Amino acid sequence: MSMHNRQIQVFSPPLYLLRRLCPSVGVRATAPLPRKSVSREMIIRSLWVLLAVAFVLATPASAQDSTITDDQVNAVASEMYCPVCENIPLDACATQACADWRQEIRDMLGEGYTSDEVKADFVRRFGDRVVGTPLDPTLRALSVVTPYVLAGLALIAAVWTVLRWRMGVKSSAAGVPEFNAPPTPETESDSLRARLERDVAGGTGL
Amino acid sequence: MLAEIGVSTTFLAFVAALYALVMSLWGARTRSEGKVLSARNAVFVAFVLLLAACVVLVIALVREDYQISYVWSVSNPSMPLFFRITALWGSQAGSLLFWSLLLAAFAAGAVWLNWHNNRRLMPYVIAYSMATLAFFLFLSIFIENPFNRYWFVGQETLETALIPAGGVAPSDALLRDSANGLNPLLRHFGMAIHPPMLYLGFVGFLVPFAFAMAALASGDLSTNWIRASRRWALAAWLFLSLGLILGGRWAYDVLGWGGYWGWDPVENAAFLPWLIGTAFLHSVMIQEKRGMLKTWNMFLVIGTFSAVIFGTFATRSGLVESVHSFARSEIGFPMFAFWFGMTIISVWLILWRRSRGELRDEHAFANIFSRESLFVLNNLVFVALFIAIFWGSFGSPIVSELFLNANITLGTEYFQLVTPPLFAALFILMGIAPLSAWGATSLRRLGRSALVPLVLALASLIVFVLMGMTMPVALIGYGIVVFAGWVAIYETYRALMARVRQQGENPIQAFFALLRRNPRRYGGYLIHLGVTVIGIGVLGSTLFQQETQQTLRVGQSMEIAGYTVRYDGFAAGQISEDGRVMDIATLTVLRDGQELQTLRPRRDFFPNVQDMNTMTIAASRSTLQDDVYTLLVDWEMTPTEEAATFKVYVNPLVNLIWWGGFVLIAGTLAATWSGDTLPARSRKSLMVGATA
Repeated sequence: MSMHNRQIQVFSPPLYLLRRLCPSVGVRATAPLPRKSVSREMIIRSLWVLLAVAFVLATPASAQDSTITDDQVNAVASEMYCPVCENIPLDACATQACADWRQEIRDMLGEGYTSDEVKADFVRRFGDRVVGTPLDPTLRALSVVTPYVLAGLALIAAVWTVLRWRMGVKSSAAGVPEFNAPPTPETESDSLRARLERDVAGGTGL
Repeated sequence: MLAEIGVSTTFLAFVAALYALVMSLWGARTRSEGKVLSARNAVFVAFVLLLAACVVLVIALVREDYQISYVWSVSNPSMPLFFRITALWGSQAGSLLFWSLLLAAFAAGAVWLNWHNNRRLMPYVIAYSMATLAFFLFLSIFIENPFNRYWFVGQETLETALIPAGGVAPSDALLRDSANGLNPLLRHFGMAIHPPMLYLGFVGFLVPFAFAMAALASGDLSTNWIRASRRWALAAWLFLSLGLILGGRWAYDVLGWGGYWGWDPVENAAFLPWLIGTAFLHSVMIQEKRGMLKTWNMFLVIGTFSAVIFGTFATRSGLVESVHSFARSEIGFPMFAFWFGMTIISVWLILWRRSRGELRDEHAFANIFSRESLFVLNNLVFVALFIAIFWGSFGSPIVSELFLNANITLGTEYFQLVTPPLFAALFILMGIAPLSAWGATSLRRLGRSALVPLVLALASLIVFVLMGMTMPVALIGYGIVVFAGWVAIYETYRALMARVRQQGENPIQAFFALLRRNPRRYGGYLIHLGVTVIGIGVLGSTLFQQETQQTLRVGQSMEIAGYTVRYDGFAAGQISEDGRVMDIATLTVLRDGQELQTLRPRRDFFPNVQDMNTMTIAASRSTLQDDVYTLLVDWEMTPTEEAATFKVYVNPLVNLIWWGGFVLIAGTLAATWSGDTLPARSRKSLMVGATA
């Protein structure tokens, strides 16, 4: 009754350094290094190797053994949606496909990817639907700002309407203080009576 | 036989609805009382026929008549009776028929109860409600017929209501053995109540819509339509609120992600009419009290029903992806056409009446701090929320696909970014507006009224800080929310104490006397209090939720938020009465070494169901303070390894959401109590005048 075979992932700074040294380490490091002169590249690689070896020697054993916890995986997965299911957060989806994607996130975090890099990778492969808001800054700003712009326009329209009403009151009722005084019970009663009488009199039909 | 009865009654109900539509309009045009009466009777006939159709479908479900394709698709022999009955709304075809029944019931009720008081509006009320009913019955008969049967014709299998030439019915045994069963997500007690409540809320807004349209069509633009439809609007709002709360509870129990509101497009589709409907319920008071906002109220009531139809279209057409996608079908285009046509006609009628000067307001705004001004602000915030949620759920995905060649779906992150300021504004207005007066209020007077609730809110914040809450966002949020609550409590307390002093009543008597005397106001305060309690729950469970996921061996435990959760054992492959296979873990929740409760989170597998056949069922320890909510995520049961992975959430104050719902229901019932909108004195004097 085995659900998923989990590999224990070791957070490995040396591996990260090695990825910088050799892009083929780590399956998702797809961007090729720019071409440079061989001698200069060799020097840089040698320096990276030395640095990596030094780091391995200097890193305490506990740090080398640290694992990516489920909570770390879920922290990233909860900000994404299942690429195939219907609007279900990736951390909550119970399908095998989502379990596999969570495993991928675990692997990537283990390889030193940041949360944003993981999300960017998923967006590249599955599109913007896997994140709650687009990663592209322009699209993101558009998405978030648009409702406020629309609401702002509605507010301007409302203010304009209210101002028009007020101007209408000032120009047509200079000597009528009715609107500025709080309505007394008698006034309200009269108003209701008048309204009801109008109702009884009826309006125009179609 | 049952299928034939079902098809006949549904079709006759469709004919009755069309007949009522034609006769009511003809009667209104020719001023023929007889024709309108005939239309009214047809409304009742349509209701009775639809009731018969639904009863027939329930009988078919209970009697396991798998020849009917709907029964085959939503039930199987192992399903208990309770879920057989609730399967009536378990899929598209049945839920459309059920929806039509509720619609007919509301229409018949509105016609029955308002016949004598609103004769002038009645023909149009009948026409609009029956046009809507006829459309839904058209869908039921021609696209999603719940009484379709399976037929073998040669090598093909047909699903049709009429017997095809040369058609042979499959054997009962074959159908019985292959019956699909209800979607596992729907096998939950909440599903017995949540969809009917939501449908009642949706359909209930038909009545205010029909009255508004009748007012526009007849030219009777007084407050008659508001008085006639007020209770219906409140009832619809109550049902919709209940539907939303129960939907949240269902999601919390069944979807297994530790939350109750996922900003799913279908959840939002139900929330949108609630927002506009709530704005309408506030705004309509201004028209009643001050004769203002007549055009705006028309737009709101039509917008509410338009949002209902749009939400139904979005839910059932597959327009957006959602966890509710089990309800998808081919009804998308007709529903869109109906929604579009209905909205265009309604808006045209408003603009036509407005252009004739018949929707002119009787008063104007005089003061920014008057209650009507604050209500208008409240309306604007509701509309802004509507825009933000509509954009996130439907606008952005559609616009991005049409114009940007991208598939942008905005999720929780967007909604949590955009909506909090608007909700905060709503709570602020919910606190301030009841303190202001109709007509005019000075800032100083408003400040004086707000002083005590403000002090109480500050005192509450000090208590929160002393209890260890230091997060600024939480303090600001709680400050705003509890202020609104304190206003409701303080205003009620003041009135209550005045009665105690003047009438010598005890506080309980005084409270009920207040509710009797001014149910609208004090019912409204109760509703505000309920919303405050919900707000406290939402803030607590959102801002302070903690979660962890760990793999444990039997005997091991994990720590979260001061609790210890110990893994005690695992029982795999348990088979329940309805055929589901359950893998159950046993956990014990401890605090300070003391065992509090045993929990059994589990994973259910439904072997006979084709899609969505696995469910993660949470187990939680619930108290008013918090929920310890556990999920069984994964397990490894081999001879050498017995480990299981659990996800545990601690959701502080989450139960206040459900309790706040109860307060909200109580408040709405109290507010609905009020029948008349005219003060008693005015009614009496008018009656005397009429007699004279």
